[in-house]
Amino acid sequence: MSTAATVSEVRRRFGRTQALDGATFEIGTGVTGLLGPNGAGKTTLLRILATVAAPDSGAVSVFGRDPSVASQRVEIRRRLGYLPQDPGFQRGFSVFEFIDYVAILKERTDRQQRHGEVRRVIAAVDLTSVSGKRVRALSGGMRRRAALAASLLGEPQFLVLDEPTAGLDPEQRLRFRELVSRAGEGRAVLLSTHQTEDVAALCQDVVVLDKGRVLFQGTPSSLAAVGDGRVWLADERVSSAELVWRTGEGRFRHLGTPPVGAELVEPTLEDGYLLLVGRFDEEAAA
Amino acid sequence: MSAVLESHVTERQMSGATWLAVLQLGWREGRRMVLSPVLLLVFGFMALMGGVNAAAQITDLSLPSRAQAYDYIFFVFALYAGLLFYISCHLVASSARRTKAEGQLAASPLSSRGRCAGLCVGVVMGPGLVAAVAMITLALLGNDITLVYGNEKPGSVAELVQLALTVVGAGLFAVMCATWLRFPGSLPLGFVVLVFGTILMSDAERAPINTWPWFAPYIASPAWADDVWTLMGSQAWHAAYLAGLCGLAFCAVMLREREGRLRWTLISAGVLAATVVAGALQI
Repeated sequence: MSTAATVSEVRRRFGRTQALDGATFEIGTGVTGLLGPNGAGKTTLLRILATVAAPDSGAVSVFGRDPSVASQRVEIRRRLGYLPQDPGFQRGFSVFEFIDYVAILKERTDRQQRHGEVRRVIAAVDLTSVSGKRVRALSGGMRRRAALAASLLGEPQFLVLDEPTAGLDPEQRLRFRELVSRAGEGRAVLLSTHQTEDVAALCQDVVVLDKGRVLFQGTPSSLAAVGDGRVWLADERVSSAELVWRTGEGRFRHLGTPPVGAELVEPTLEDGYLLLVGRFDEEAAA
Repeated sequence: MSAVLESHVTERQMSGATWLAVLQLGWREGRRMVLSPVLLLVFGFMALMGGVNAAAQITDLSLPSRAQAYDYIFFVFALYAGLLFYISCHLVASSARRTKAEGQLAASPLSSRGRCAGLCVGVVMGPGLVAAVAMITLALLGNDITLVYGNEKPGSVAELVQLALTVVGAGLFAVMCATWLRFPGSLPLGFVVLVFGTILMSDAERAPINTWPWFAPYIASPAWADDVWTLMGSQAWHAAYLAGLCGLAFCAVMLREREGRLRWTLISAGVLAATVVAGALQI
């Protein structure tokens, strides 16, 4: 797996908030999941990697290029696709016009080829039937897919996706998984999400960010392994557990230090993530 | 990773693509500026009122319809087109900021300066083209007619060029406002500056010296303003002066980006010097 991007000791502050506090990790080819609680600094990190924002200190390199140098930044952008967390759409644009507009900004100057590419990405996100409709008249999920289509233009070598599955229905989420897994073949995809199922299904690598620092980097199975011996099922609620919920079968799934003789179960990626981030006390106090 | 980089075309080809992208973006933005709903609504209303007015005067056989059309187009462009295109150009130039679409657009290879250049090209290719067509129409209509207003003489070529430049200038001023004043009130603020600044500067009676109105970003045309001051200077140099002001507005837009500012400062200094020379030669 070759390295597509490296982030080294990156810090970024907004007023009194330290959004990133020395984050360091590498992104290789394939799909990398970025997990973290709200306010962990995920969006800031993604904006920096997408060359939209600059860090206060630290080093970022994408394809060996330094985004702080204007000429190298342009080179990075020519190989980049970026879907922001909250994409906006200019008034009056239809889906086709919006994506065509972004394609021009991506220097796709051959009109015929550009239109063919625009139609391809619209079909990829299953919006062909509404390509002539105003973007702002579409549902939230459709708008998100339009923005996703724009980020897929030109088959970018590095795709940065900030919560792409928010607002998508289950069928579209599965379709999205197919899209992203295809995009990750031989290329790099960084996927920020709160959906641990998406990470488990798609990602070869996971980075967990909390309070601006990298808590974990490894495979999804190694993140799940964080929960080894700390997840158990019981018929009654055990108050000493850090987190308890009732499952569909009517039993109680517990995370934390198990009592003697507890019925241990295989931890999922979500269990590992919850135990790693472990903010249960703070959440209870809040 | 090297394979990833080598799979793309050369940088020289990309640089050419950037300029072509700016032109294509300009064409797209120009179309948006011209087809702005605000513009279509107001111009549609004006056309309707013009039609009603013409119908009301149909019994006045002494008034040739060619002169009537000339007057109508001239006054629409002299009094309203600049202001209306200011509004439509500002709405287009600020739309990415207002709709929070900047995040995705900012990650594209065409830099912020490239997008601003596209907007300026759009002003020329959109409102500028409309003004050019209108001025050609005026030149054709103005052949051998007597007007009702002003000094009864149709404008010269230099005066019509001035009129087109006021429209382009208003559009570039709008892009400049939208680029530098990135807050919700920037449209009305720029509008007030444009209207009152022009009125104050072109008011010969209030001016400290009677040549002052020549420095207003407006036409100095005896075709409709029969003031004495309009007869004193050179219409052609005033057109050059207005072109200089347009160039300065474009430079101001380009100076918004920090990178490469030295180069654009030097270019701006050259354009400023040329504008000052044209301003001095016009009177």
